[in-house]
Amino acid sequence: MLWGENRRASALRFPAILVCLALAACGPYPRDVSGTLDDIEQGGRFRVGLADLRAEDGPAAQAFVRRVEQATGAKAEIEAGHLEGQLARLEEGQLDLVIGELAEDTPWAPSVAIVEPLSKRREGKRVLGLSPVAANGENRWVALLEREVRDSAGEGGS
Amino acid sequence: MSEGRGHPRPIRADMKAAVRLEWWNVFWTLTYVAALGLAMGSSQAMRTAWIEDMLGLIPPLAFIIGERFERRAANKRFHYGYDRVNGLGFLVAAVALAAVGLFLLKDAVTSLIAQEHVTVGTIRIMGHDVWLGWFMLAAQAYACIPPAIIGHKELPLSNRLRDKLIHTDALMNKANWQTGVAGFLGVALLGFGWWWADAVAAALISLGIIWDGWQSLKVAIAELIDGVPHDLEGGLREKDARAIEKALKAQFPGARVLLRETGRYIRAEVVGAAAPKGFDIDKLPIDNLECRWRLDSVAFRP
Repeated sequence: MLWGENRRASALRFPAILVCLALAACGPYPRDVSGTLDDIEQGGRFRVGLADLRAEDGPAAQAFVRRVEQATGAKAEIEAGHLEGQLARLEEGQLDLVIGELAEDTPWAPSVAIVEPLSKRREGKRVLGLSPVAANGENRWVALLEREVRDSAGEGGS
Repeated sequence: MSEGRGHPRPIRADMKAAVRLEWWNVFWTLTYVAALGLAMGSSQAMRTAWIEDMLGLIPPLAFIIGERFERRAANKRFHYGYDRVNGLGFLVAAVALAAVGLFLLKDAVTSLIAQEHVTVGTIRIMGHDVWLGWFMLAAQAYACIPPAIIGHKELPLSNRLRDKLIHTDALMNKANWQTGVAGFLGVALLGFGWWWADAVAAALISLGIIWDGWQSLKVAIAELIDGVPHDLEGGLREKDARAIEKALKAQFPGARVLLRETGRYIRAEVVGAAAPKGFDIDKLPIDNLECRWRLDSVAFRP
């Protein structure tokens, strides 16, 4: 009946879709929804917003930006600003990367992709992480940032 | 008879099999709920599938609880026994099914409107950064298998037992494996940067689930307010009910025959005729009645 028919139709549809996926699979996977990393690699530059950094966090953030420059072969264009404004600009695609201090339970969490922190510290009840932040859905770009954070920790970064 | 203890003899073995199947259903559902829970991370799309799968526990649990009551004999407080517990469970299952559909649709539409781009990160395993999407795909693929198999096994049982609760659970299982496929495609296509694919697939599937939920809900409500026995496929009067009505009308020409459904059983009332002497319900000739055990009682109102 209804159930059986749907099941058979889907059973046929499923391999067909898989074949399409396999054909489309040429090229990097996962990709960015808005193609951030492609644009960076082709354009040779990426826009970084440093957000309200404390003086002692400056070097770690700078070192991280250098790493990303090396990994992408692109030049960073750095501008400083306030955290909320920088995150808003990141969401709008005016920045590719924001580095700032965010609480583990920040309300920004669902709206942007907060990468694991370069360093952490406690402030009262909260744990603050010095984190790179990317726009949501830029999964290839996020994967690159995650790799660089992990590698920098492995090489004695704070 | 439903006022006595236990199920009628012709369905005892099937009832036992159904209870066993529903326990397996609960067990397997818990395994893929756990698998999805472990893989979902912060993914909203996965969270939706996860909540739906949790709702999928409601129909089998409703059946298992209902079956325990149904076996009980009538008592001082429940003169007609507990037949209708099955109908009540059916209503609960129908509401759960419709809720799954509405929930899925709402989630898909809001994420399309908000243009939610889902981020799926990586995890470092033995020096390699592995995309978490691969784990999600594995969990989603696994989550399609148990509901497809159990739902397939439920259909013949629900037919033989005339059990709309199990039928609704089969529909719920269909909903679960379909959302599993949608979730799988959603994650896979997200990998290609198609952020909308997940939501569009989910929205399309949700329409089918809402339709099934609505059909079940209509029949469940009709049963609870003493409507004539309805078919789940949309027919007004189901085959068994038609056969009983025809037989009683032939036996008592000029009388009105009223029918209602109490759980899996049918009770009839003959209006405008007195009960003939020595009337034996088991000897009443009824053509084309597949399940004799369904006719629970015939009452007379002269």
